[in-house]
Amino acid sequence: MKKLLFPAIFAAVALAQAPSSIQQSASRLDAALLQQTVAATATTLTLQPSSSQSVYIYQIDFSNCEDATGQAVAAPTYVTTTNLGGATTATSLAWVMASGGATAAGSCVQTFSVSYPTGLKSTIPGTAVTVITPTFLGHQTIRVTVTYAFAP
Amino acid sequence: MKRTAILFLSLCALALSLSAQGPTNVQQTNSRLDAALLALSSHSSGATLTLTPLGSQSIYIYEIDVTNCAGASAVSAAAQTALTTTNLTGSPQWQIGSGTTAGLCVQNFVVTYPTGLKSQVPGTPVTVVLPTFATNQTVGVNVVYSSAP
Repeated sequence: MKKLLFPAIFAAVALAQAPSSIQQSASRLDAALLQQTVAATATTLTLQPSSSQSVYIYQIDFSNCEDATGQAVAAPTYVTTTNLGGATTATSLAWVMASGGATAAGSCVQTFSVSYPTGLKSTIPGTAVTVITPTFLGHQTIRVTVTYAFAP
Repeated sequence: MKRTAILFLSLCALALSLSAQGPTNVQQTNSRLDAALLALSSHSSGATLTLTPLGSQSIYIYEIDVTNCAGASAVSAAAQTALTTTNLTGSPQWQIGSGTTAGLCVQNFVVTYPTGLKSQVPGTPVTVVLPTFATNQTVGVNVVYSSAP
C-alpha cells in the first residue's frame, strides 16, 4: 500500500502541472472575419453585431468608375456612415466621390482604401454600423467594400 | 511516524495540484482595447477639426484620409494650399493642389499610423485645419483617433 502511495502522489503532481501554452500562435483572434461589398446606387450596407458586441472596421475600399459612355459632369457626392466616430462627431465619416465628365469614360476616377490598423470601433455596442453609397449619376458605378469583425 | 510523513506528503501533493490547476488566460482576444473610437469629418472650406482629449489624456491619431475634388465646373489653377495641424510634434502638413478638370479628383490619399501618432502636449486638443477652398473645389478630410493616457 505504502509502495503504491508515493507513485500515486508523484503522478498526481505531474498531471496537475501540465502546462498551459503561453507561446504565440500563428492564429490571430483579432483578424477581420467579415466583408460586405456593394456597387449599387443609394444602397446601405448594414453591419449588424449581436447585442453585446461592437463592430470593428479594419478597411474600406472605394472604386469610382464610369462606363464606356461616361457620365455627365456634376457636383461630387458622398459615401456616408452611421454609428462611427463617437458621440462628439459633428458629422459622420464621409468620403467625397467625384462626378466626372465624359473625358473619363471607361475609367475609374478614384480608387483608394482607408485602413485602421487597430480597428475603428463602433460607437454604440449592439447597434449596426451602416455605410451608404450615394445616388449614382448615369453611367457611374461606385463600389464600396468593407472589411470588419464583431467583438466585445 | 511514517504515517504522519505520508499524510504530510499527500497534503503537499494536493496543495500543489490545486495551485497548479489555476489557469492563466494568456490567449489573444478578438476585442481590441487599442481600437480607435473617435472620428471627425469635414468637407468645408477653412474648417477646423478639434480633437479634444478626455481630461489630461493624449490624442492618438490612427488614420487621416484626404480627397481633393472638383465640382461640376473645373477648379481654376491656383497656388497650392495645405492641410495643417497643431499639437503634433513637427506640426505635419500636407500639400493640397488647386486646379483640376470638372468632376474629377486630383488627390485621394490615406495616412496611417499603425501604432498611433500621439499628441505633443497631454490635455490639449489637436487641430487639423482644412485650407480655404478654391472656387468649385471640395476637400474632404476624415480623422480617426482615440483619447488615452
